[in-house]
Amino acid sequence: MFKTILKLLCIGINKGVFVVGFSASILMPLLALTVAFEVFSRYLLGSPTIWAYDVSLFLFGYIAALGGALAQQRKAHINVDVIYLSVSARMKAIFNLLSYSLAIYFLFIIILISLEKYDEALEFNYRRQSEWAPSMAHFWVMMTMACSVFILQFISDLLQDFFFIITGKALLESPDEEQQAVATADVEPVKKKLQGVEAL
Amino acid sequence: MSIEILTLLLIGLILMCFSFGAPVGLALGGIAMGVGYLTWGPGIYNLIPTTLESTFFSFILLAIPLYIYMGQLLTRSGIGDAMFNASQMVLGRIRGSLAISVIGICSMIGAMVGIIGAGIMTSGSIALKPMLERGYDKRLALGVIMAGGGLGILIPPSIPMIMYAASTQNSVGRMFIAALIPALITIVLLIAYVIISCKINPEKAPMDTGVEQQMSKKEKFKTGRDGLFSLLLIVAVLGSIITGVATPTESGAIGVVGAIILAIVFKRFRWKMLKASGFETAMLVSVSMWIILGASLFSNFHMLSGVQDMVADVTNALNLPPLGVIIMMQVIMLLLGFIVDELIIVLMCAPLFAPIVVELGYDPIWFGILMILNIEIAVQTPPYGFALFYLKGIAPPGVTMMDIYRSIAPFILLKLSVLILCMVFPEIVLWLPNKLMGEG
Repeated sequence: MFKTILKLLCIGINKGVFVVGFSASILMPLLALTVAFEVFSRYLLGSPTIWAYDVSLFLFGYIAALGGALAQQRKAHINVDVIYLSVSARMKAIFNLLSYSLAIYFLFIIILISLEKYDEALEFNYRRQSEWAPSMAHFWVMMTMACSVFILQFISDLLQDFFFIITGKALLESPDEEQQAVATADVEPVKKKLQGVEAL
Repeated sequence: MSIEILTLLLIGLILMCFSFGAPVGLALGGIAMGVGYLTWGPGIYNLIPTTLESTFFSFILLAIPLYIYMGQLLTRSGIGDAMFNASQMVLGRIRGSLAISVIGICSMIGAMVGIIGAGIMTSGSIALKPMLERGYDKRLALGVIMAGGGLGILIPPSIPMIMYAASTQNSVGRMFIAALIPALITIVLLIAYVIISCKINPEKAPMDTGVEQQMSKKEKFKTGRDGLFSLLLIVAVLGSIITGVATPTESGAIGVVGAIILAIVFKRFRWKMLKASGFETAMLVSVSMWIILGASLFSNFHMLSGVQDMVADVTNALNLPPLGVIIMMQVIMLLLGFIVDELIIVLMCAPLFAPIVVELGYDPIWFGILMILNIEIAVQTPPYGFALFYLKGIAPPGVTMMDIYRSIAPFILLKLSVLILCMVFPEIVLWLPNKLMGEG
């Protein structure tokens, strides 16, 4: 029963994180088009926009911050694995407990600061120091959300590691559940190519 | 706490976190905030909003997602393969032609993706199979992919160059132009090595079966057209920076639109590809930006604690000649390359070393290019250069780490000679940017 609850919690978190990360990735073409439109507008329409600069920077910030949790789910964040790869699975899980706790502390501080900045942005009407001068409030809300989702992903990973340390078994063991949790979708054609190379 | 003890504490904590396999960016940020709180109190948290804004609202760093996106679109739409086939069609009758094509195309692909790991993985997945299938020597095949894929950070547009320029307040365009001659020299040396080595040991590279030569005229035209237009896109992106039509960031966006247009014109465009490219780009960008944020916080805290004065004092105490200081920095970066990747080396070393270099009377752009050349060598140097493990990851099961170590050795020596050349003759780096953009 307890195991089922843990599993459902981890799968739920992983799915939620996937939705947030995937939604952020949809902004990518929009970002490219915004910057390209500025060049188009400047040279072909003869009038540079005042909004493209700020919009592109906001989109960049949204993509970078909101994608962090999904990158963690896919274990894509860069780490130094010279020692990490040479220890047992249980020791890896113990290492993870320590390093993920540090990461959660860092993200928690960012949440506190972002909430403070959000309040300031509303109270003093803080805006970007640019010609268009859009409000900064939404950026700090987004940072709070991005770090919260990131922390949730670390909690899911910590639960799985903790379960493994105690029981010696993986919490999300069946490939179906793993697939459901990681939900990598059809985004890795490189994998197919690598399989082709391995087939040699 | 004195800066010496603080630095030792920070280094100790970094080594501990790195050995635990912690995500680098978050670990650096966490260490800076934790140690900062103990030494400065809650005032340390004031660094977060300023660093966050300077990182996420940097128009220079905005170039990163755009160049990665362009690279993803070009490689996923099969345009990378098209370039490879076109090059093979032109060079097919030369012994070792496939290896030469690999160097040329891998460096192009590496340049598009702008990060060593992605460059080697993408290049390897396109080029390793055809080389091994056509009976090429395993070591030659692995070596050229490693050497060509690794060139990506030296050929503009390059993500580490953008990061160097951003963290030292230098011009990205100037960095890009400064890298062109060293990159060209490296490519020529690598190709010359392949030709000479195949001439001495012909069994290393059997004559091509000539699949590309036997193609019908229509197929040849299509292959040539695809290759030419792909090359033109990269030239257009660089050209728009050099001519000042667009900033490096805007050139990235032009490149993305160009890559989409090329994919549509070549009938290779699929919505699924656009979605997958966007997804993979978002992941890579997110990884890079969280590292930049963590490393910038760490670096800001360390700088404000007075590390620059300490480094300057140590440098003075050693009483080294200016070039000796540069060589010492190179050795430090070379050693760092054994444990961390290129982005982290740039973010940690650029703000620390660049001011000292300027004080010694050297050009920061010249030092930036030396740094890029050095990192390229460091991450490929046995036994722990991390890029070696990327290659191992995509190599067929029969390839051992020893094969990879041996394959890369001659190429490392060639790249080292380019680094020494650029160090001894700064004009190799500075002549072109000074010519095109005036004295810096």
